[in-house]
Amino acid sequence: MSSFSPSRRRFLSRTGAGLGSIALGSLLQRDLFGDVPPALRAVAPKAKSVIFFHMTGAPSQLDLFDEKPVLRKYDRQPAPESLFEGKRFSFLRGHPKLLGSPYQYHQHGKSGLSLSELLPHLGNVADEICLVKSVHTTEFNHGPAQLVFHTGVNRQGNPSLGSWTTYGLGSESENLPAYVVFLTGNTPGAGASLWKSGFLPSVHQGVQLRGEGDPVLFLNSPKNVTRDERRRTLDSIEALNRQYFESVGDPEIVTRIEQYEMAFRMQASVPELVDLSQEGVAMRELYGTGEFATQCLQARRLVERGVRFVELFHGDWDTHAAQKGRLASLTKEVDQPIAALIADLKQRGLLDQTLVVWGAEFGRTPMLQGEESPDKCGRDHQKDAFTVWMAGGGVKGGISYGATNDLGNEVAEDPVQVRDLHATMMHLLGIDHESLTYRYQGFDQRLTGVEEARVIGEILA
Amino acid sequence: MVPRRLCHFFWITFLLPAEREAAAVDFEKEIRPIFEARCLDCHDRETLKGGIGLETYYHAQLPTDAGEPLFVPGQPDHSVLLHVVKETDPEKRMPPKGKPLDPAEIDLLERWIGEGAVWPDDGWRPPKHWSYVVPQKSPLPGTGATLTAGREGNEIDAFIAARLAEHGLGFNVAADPARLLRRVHLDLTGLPPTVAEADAFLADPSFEHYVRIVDALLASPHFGEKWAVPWLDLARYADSEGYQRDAPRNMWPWRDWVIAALNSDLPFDQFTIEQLAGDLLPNATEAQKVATGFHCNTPLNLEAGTDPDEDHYKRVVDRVNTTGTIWLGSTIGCAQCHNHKYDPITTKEYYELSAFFNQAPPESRQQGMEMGMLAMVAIGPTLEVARTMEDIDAELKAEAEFEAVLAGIRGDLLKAVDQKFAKNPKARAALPKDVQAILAREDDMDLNQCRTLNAKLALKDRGMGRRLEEAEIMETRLKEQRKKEVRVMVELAQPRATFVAKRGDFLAKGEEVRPATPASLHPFGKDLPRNRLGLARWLVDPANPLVGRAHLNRIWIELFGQGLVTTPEDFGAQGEKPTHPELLDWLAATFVSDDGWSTKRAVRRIVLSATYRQSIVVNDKTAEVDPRNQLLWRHPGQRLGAEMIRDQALAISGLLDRRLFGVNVRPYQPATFWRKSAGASETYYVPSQGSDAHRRGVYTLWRRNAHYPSFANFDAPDRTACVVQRDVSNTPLQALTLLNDPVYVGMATAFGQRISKEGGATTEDRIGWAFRTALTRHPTEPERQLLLSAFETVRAASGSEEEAWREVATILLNLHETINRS
Repeated sequence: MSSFSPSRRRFLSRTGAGLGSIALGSLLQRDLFGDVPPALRAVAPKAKSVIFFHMTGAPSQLDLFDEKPVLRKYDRQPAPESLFEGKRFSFLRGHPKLLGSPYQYHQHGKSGLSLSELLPHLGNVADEICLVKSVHTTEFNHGPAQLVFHTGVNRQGNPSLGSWTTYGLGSESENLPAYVVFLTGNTPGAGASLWKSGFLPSVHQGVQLRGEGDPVLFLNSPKNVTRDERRRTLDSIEALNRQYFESVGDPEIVTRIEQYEMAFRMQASVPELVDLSQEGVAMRELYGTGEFATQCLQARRLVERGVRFVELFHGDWDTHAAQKGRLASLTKEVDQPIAALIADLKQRGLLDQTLVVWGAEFGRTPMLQGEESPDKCGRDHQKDAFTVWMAGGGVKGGISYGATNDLGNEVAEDPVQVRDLHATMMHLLGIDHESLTYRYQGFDQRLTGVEEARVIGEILA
Repeated sequence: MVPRRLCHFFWITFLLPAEREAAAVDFEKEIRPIFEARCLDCHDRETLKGGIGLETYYHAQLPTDAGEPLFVPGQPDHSVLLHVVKETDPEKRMPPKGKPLDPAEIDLLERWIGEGAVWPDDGWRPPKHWSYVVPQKSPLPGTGATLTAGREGNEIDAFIAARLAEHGLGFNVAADPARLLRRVHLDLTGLPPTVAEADAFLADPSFEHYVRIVDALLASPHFGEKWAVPWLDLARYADSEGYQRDAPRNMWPWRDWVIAALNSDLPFDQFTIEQLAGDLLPNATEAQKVATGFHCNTPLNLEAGTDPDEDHYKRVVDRVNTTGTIWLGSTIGCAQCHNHKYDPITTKEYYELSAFFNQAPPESRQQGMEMGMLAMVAIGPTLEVARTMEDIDAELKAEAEFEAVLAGIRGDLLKAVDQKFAKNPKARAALPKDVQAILAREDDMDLNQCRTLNAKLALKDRGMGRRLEEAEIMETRLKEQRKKEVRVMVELAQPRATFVAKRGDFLAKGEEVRPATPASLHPFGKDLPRNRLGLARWLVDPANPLVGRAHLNRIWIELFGQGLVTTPEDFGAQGEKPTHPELLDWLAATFVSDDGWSTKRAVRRIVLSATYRQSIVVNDKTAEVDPRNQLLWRHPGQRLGAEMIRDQALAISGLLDRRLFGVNVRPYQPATFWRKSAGASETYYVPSQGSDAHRRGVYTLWRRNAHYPSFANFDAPDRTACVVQRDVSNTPLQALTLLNDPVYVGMATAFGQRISKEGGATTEDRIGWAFRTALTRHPTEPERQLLLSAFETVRAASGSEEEAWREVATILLNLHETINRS
């Protein structure tokens, strides 16, 4: 059971009846990472783990990363017709006005990367960051666009990026799930589909680590049961399962015994993971306070322990109105912890092997939505141009790739499709996105789909 | 195709003679060599890049992936073929490598197209795939492996035995009676046998007795509850809309229709017709209309700002794909964006099929505002269904529960008011009149008034806000229950035009199409109407080569864990070939011709076979020959499904509420499991009270974005899309669920109490009874000893017999054998 390649794993999991479990058996093999067939490892891996931030609702790239002096100049002027004629928006109707960013931009670090004043902490790690300003997608409503961003397809029922990753690379942790998900604020619109495994074996679905109650659902034994008592019960279960195995000989029973052992280990390893008291005051101050800060620190602890894919959803960026106040408080929640995470990974020598990606389902329009007053106005959804950034894991730091036009409504240079981002992430993990396939519905399915996807070579370190 | 051939004819006959004097281009001598030299690297009949084939007449006549004809006879200017070779941009020009075609070659192509693009039919056609040939009953194979005396078998065994014999293998030993009894009970009803039922069978384990038991189980009302589950997965049945809003929806009367239809063994052809087009049947009954809820199960995007037309298109696509998967075993969805690469379905044919489903009235629209944004509402047709006595009982129960909760709120509010003003009666007297009026109603305050009171008096009870919200959810549900409604299909009065959506983009309208079925499949009867009813009848035409195979294969999966075709969602060219092709065909042909489409007869035949009645015990030597057990040399003993695991544990612990049908129930789950999502309604989960928390899993509320966690951990899909076969995983989360989910902890406690109450007089008796209640069979001596010692250890440590029995119960509910077929 030590060397199951993904193709073998696929083959077995497709045979139904219990054999799917062997996938998990192999998923827990510590040595699996170095045991992937040549087709998958055609590319030398840079990253071992991914930390994927999704700002649910879609932040305004124009107020955070993509400075537009021309837009500012024409603030509150009627938008040129080319911005809205014949285009579909969620809410904008009639003849909208332009909305210049009220925020100052500053250059940071040796690279001089320019970031909005709303992100002062991120500025401290600007030299690690690669802004991709020319991303575009196909959907302008949250649910479908989130699905595209995670699965490549605008309908539910397909595997997420994290599932594809663990399917391709397995796990390096024997005590923790390979794919961990955190949520802050509202649940993303497309819900758990964003971390489900779709048609891939269900062992590849993300496991949510929760702030309230059990950190993993049903992790803790009932209140009055001690660890020794639990051990005793498990010993009895195991003894009976072994008896049964001896009379029946089905290897699935052995896997079951192993899963009960893993469950028992998780009962210790997960609380240890979420117990931040060992981190020290300075470290916790670096990350700051709040639920999201805690999760960022836990994300680092997870990748340290070999977890393959960590995703953090941060909610409520859908600023159709009252953008000013909301952006200020939202950026305040995420800026310090994310910057701290990057600095912390760097200082531990983990940043090179951890790919950090920050993005959302789409961006926001240069056109003003709602009331005009600076406190009340907002921006609508924009699918044609937005910013995603990456750091670590083999990405060039302190650079900006791609550009939008003067008003920021369209890509002007080096367009990047969502599937190009996916292909690039896979590449950094050492996976050729065209050879990571799974046979379903008569066809070798891929994360990047049937149309061409491009690895963005220009941003690779 | 027909119009294009006419076109050929027209050009050749009437226009060409005038030009023929200038020596017409000779396809074989002048055109084919160009294709062979410059095009076939990418456009031969294997590669077909871009859906373009230049090797055979057949492929050359098909539209490209972009949906355009490759060339238009007589019109070089409108022919893509010519455009791409003339292209000046080398990035876009064909061929992409090497020098461009030279002017003489281009000229030849231009003239050839101008002259009508004559391409003599070379007669090549894609070979007919096995699944597109109507299944026939082949004669039963001769002696294969033989069954020993007393092991009655049937036709199925002849096919299985023949394949086993080819590999020098034979059947496994027969399953022992207790295990067989448990297996067949679970497979037919999803519930385990009782100890008394086991005793009766052990007293007479004859085949005749087994047959009587099978017939009784097939007649049990719980058969429909068990067999509905795989159909609900196919139909992506859920109680919420999906996508961002994921609001509650009322589809449970349709779920009840499925259970009732399975119980009455509605023949599968009729089962199909009623679900796809019950509304179009003459004098359609209420039940037939309810049945059409099948395709209303498609997710509906009610996120504010959604384009209703786009979502309509997505729903049509989902309906076409789901229909293709279930009744054609086909991956027809591939043709949404391009001609199917492997199976004979073009993009145009895909949209012709979609035209049948495009006649549903609008199901959502933008209406009103929501936080300054255009809100979406569901407006699809619904049907109010006559209520049964059970519905009324359930409503009365829900009403009593709501009243109890409301009474609690009222009492606590009034108490809080009394406390607040205890020392200051004057302030109380000075309260505004409307508040006074509410207070005066005392025990008659309704929920709204309670809410007002709580808000206006700023009372300090911190949990009250949440309690009020929960009561509001209960009240809303109660209102829904009083009016039993379900979504149904109806046909638009004015037909809606259907267009090819180029590359799957609904805004890129291509050719207009009319409802039609793919040319490569059996013909659409001349007398059939071109609507959903005609389509449904066409799908269950005995000439449809796929329907019986796909259905029987799914039944096989339900009973054996894997199909005779191991890719049940794809019977096409890319799917796996059947492991036992003759058996599959024999079963499918028998199903349609002899069994009158009876699902119960098909199930009965399989569970009576010696193949099914084999033991699961692994024979190491045989396992080396066939490790995946594809030849079925043993019963696979596969794991139970998510609902079955919970249903069984409820039955074992004595908690199961066996009532059938009704509004969905909400067993306990952690309060924080439903999180708030933007624009979503019902963010609180209010668990059902009383025995509703212990109904069978098929009745559990299915919220797509957060479905019941213990089911999710056992591979139940979220029902956002059609699923033919559930995954079967074996994970630590499953162990954690069975050990720690409060629902399972509660079941273990109840089972423990039941053991001491019902298990007999002595500890030995009780251990035997408990083991048999969980696993039907008697424990072996070592097993008995292990349980006894577990019992003794806990009793000694805790001094509590109750705890010791709970320990035994917990162990039994967690055994591998308990959650697997044995």
